[in-house]
Amino acid sequence: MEQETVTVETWSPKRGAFLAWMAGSAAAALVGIFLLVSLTLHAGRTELPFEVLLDHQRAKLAGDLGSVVFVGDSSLGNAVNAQLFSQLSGSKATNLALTAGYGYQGTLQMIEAVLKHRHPSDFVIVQTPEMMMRRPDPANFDLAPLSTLDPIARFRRIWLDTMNLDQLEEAARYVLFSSDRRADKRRGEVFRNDYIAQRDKPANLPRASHFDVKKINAGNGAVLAQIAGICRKTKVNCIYLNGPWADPVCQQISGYLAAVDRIVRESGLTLADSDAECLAPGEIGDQADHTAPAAKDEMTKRIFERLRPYLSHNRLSALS
Amino acid sequence: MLFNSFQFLFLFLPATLLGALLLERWSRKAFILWLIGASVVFYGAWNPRFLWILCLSLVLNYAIALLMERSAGNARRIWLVIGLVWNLGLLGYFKYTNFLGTTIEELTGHDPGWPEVILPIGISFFTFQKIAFIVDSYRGQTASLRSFGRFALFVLFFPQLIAGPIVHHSEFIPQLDRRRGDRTSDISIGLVVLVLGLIKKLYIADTLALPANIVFNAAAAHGHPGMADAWTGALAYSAQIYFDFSAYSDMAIGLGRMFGFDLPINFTSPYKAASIVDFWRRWHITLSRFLRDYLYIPLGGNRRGENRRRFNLLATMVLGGLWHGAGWSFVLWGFLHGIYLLIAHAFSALPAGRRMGKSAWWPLAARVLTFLAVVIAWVPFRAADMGTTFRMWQGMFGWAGAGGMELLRTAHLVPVAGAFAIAFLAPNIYEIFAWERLGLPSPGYPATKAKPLLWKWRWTPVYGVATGIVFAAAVLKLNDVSPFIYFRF
Repeated sequence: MEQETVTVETWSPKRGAFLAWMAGSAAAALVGIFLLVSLTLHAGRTELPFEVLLDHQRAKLAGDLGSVVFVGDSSLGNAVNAQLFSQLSGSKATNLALTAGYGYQGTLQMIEAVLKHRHPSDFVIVQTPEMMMRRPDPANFDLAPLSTLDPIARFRRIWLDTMNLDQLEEAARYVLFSSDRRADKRRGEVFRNDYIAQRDKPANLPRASHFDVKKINAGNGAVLAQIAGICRKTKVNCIYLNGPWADPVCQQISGYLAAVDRIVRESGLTLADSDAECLAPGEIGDQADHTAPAAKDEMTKRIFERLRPYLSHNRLSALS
Repeated sequence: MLFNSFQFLFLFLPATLLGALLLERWSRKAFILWLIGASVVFYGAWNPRFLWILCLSLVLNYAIALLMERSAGNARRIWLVIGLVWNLGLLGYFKYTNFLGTTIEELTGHDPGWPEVILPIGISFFTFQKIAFIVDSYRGQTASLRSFGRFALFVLFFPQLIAGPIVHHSEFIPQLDRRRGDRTSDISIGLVVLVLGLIKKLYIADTLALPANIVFNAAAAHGHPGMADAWTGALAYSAQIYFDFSAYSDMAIGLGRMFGFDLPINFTSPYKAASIVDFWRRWHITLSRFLRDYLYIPLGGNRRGENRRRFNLLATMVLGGLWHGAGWSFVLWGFLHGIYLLIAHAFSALPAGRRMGKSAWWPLAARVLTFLAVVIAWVPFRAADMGTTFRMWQGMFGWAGAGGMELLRTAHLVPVAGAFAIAFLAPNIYEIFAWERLGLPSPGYPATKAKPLLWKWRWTPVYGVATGIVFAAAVLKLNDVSPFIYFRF
């Protein structure tokens, strides 16, 4: 191989200029994207799906929630059709599912928000099985709208949720289509069947080793105990149910679910069942804990059967 | 901490690099201490509970090496055995306890009831690195035991700590005495290679995971993929692991260079290999040479007759498979590669094989054959269990029917085809940056001696702007990151 003589310099102006151009262009590109995404949001583009979802669920608080209120994450939002559940149970039910990003803290805050104005007989808490491994994140569980956050928390949330390809694509489309009706049409597509519409892509399924008892975050048990305390104080029947998970992993994590169940029971909440509803290959939506839209009604029926013995009015009828 | 995370790219890396640049001019000791501290933070960010294992093992290995240096004869040998037992015992406990428990349960129907053991990240890599050091200390080949700090940085240096390359002490420790001249050159080339690695991981490897997961998950759920699905899934995974490991290797080399260290070349276009022997000189080179120097040759290599050589080769590959993961499917993967190597050696020894090797069409045919053999062997490597492996193979070989694409769509073929076009046709980073002497070549591994291309990378503003924009594109994918495949090993 031809050998090249390398001259050793302490500083290379040429390389320095290269680095400056590289850093400058990266910074300019990122600032440009940030501005495009943020300005289109301010100009009226549909907000981030979770922001829209929060507004959607908060709007329900003003109406009649009925006697059974579901709270939890997307494993609930994609699994329970509240209308069908109302028919099955004979009493009105409302689904206030948020996303897993809000964590148990979000569920706690949603329960508090409901109790400010309403007094249901049952709260059903449905959380994805992996929720117990998550670390409560103060920036994510805050139910406050983006505009009310302090500048640092606001920047962090905007950065995490806006600096991505999906948002760039949405912003670009908004700019291109803002003058016609297609943009309005797109806004309507954020929701389907009372929850965020699923993406048209198959789920990426983690292995069973993903569920590790040692990864369970002790802080989550404390939040559940807080929820149980509120339920006791306000005399609302609070039931905990694991959200669905995809097969075959769903059937291989009984050890992990037993640990979750122990924490739930110790918190003082009523546990509806010690395992999770398993999603067969045809029932899996765009994530391992999302029920496919076509299977939502079937899943609602299965969840109703699991919950039936624990719901207040059934327990009262059984007693009488 | 992942290389492809916000924390790493925007907090850890800039802070660590800035500190290193300031300290290296002031004091070499402070520079080494700074990098040790940063590497401990890097490792602890994953799970601080396992830092004690890393640190205890570091101290013990250094102590054993020192004791060996000061002893002779049987005493020296005893220290070697203690060192090997400690390192292999640690690896065995953390990596194979769960596997052993499951195997006992499967064989006897009785659960031994052992508590589940979590695998400390990177243990397979840093254990091998220390084994090499201990063995070489025994052989008197480590003239570098001058300070614990230098040894600690050799083991802990964060670009190679989690998933290699498995750096040899003779490659790294002497670099601690060398003053680098132009640091802007190191930083610029290191950054460019880091950005290329990011793009490979975030835009290519992670995209290919989707079709691969669909097919392998269906097989894991007792489905029987048809021929088209099974082949597309296997090819998608072959491309995914190629770009995933290539990306990690690039990033490790780039990061090392930014801090003024040349790490060994670990990955040089393995799908361009003209034989399975050539493949192993291009794929995970530092593991191949470790297995050669510390397993195959000590077993007797080719010095004890032909049959013993075959056995040694097969045993080395099977143990290499088991090193990757505690499971029968990894054993099968290693066994297959062992068989491939035996066939390749036998074929090249035959007169017909030698004649065929000289024909004009052979180079292309050999590449295709090698590639197909590698793809078939990736199936057990990716499959969750042996059942999934056999269902995938049944699909690929038409035993589940010559079905069309049922699980996948035609659109899934586009990234797979694109990825292979790059893997087969594009130059690798060592060819692109041949003039810069990127990475350390390994003796006996010809593909690590890159030939410069006609086209030359230029350090001009245009290239700078292009690299900056590519980096910005990588940042837009950081909201959806997945760990590198080799992090699991």
